[in-house]
Amino acid sequence: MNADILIIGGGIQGCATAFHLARQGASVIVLEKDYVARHASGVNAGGVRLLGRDMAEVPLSKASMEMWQTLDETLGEDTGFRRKTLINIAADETDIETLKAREIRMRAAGYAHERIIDRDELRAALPHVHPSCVGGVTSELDGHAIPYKATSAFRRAAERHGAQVVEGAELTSLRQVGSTWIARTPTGTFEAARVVNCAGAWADRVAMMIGDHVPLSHAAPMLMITARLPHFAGPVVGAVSRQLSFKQFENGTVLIGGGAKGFADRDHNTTRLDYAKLAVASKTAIDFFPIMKTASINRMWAGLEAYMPDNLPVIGPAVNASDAYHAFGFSAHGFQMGPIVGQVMADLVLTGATPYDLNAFRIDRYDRKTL
Amino acid sequence: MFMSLRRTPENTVTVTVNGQQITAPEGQTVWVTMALAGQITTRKSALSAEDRSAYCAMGVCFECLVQVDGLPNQQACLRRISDGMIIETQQITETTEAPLDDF
Repeated sequence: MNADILIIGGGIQGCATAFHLARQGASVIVLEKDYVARHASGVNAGGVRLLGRDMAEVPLSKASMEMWQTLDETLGEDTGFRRKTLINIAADETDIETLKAREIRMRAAGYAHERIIDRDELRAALPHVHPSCVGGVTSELDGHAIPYKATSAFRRAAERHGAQVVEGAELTSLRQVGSTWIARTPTGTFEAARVVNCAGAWADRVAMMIGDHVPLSHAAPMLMITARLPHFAGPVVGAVSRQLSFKQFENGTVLIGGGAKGFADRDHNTTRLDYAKLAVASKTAIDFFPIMKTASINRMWAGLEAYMPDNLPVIGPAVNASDAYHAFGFSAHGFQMGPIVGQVMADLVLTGATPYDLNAFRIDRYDRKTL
Repeated sequence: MFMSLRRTPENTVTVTVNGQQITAPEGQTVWVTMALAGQITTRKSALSAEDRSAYCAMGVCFECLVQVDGLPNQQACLRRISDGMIIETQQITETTEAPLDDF
C-alpha cells in the first residue's frame, strides 16, 4: 500500500496529524501496532490543561486550548470536552510565593491566562476545600475531555477525509530507500514519501529505525475513579506543590490522578498497579477535600506513557534522515496538545515550516556536542 | 412482609435506620435488619431515583448499597450491625449536591 505520508502510532498525536494532513488533501496511512487509543491516548485522565505549562510549551498549548473550545464542531464528533476552569490549590504561603514568582515570568512573556486567587475566591469556587488552603491559581479556558472519544473523533474525522488507519500493524522494519520510506508489518508492506513518528512509549524504537537516538523513558501513571459522589467540585482541581489532580464528572464520579506511577512493562504492553502509592494519592485527596473520605474507589488503572528527561516533548523534523518527523514524549501532558500538534506536524510535512518555535523540542537536544 | 425464623436472640444491639431505633440480634446483617423493620429501600437509583434494595442478598449484585455511619456505598447484605450504627437510605443521584459540613 502506498501513500504520501505514513504515520506511525494511532494515538491522539498520530490521529490529529492524520486529520490535518488528510483534510488538506494528502493521502495518509496510520499504522497502529495495537488499536487506536490503546495506550496513553485512551486511558489518560483527560485533562485539557493550559495552566502551569512549561514556558516553552505555552504558545502551542494556548493555541490548542482555543482549538478545543470548538473541536466538536471542527471534527463533527463528540470529544467529551467540557470547559470547567482549572484551579491549582496553594496549600501554604510557600505555594503562594511560587505562584507569584511564576506570575512575574508569565507577565514578562506577555501571558495573562493564569490568575492568582485568594482564599475567599478559592472557597467560593471550591466550597469543600480544606479551610487551611490559602489560595491558588486558575485558568478559565481549561477543562476535561474523554480521551478515547477525543482520539477516536480525530481518527474518524481523518478517515472521512480519506486517511486509512491500519490496526495491528506493528513495525518490523522501517527503511528509507532512495526517496521512499518502506514500512514492513505483519499485515503488509507500506510505502510513502514521508514518515511521522507518533509512537508514544515506543517512539524511541521508531526513532532509531529512522536514524535518530533519543533518551526516552516510559512509565505507568495510575488513575482511580470513584463511585458517584454528591456534586462538590465544579472546576478541575490540582495543587501547586502536591501530587493532587482530580475532576468530578456530571454523573458524580471523581477521576483521581496526580502522577503516582505503577510498574510499566513495555515489552508486554502491560502495567501493574502500585497500591501503596494509590493509597498515598487517596490520602492526599482527603487532605485537601475531607468529603473524599466517603468516596468508594470503583476502578484503578495505568497506561504506558513516554517521558523525556526534561518533561518536554519531541516535536520537529528528524536530524539523521530526510522526510521524517517526530511528535512524541509528551511526558504525561500531551493530550491537551493533540489538536495543535496535529496542525504543526501537517504544516511541517507539507510546507517544511511552522509559525511556532520548536527549538526547545528538537530531538537532538540531548546529543553531546563534545566528548 | 419479612419474618425472622430465629427464635431466641442471645445478644441484641440497637441501631438507627432512617431515624427509627431498632433493636435486633447482634451479628445480623444491615439488610435483614432493615427488611424486618419494613424499611426495604437501601438506596435510590442514581439515574431514575427509583427505590432499590437487595437483589441477590449475598454480596454479588451491589444493588443494596446503603449509607452506614455517613459512609455511602456499603453493601447492606454483607455488613453486620453493631450497637449505635446509623443506617440511612443512600440518596446519591446525578443531581445531588454535597451539603457543606463543618470541619
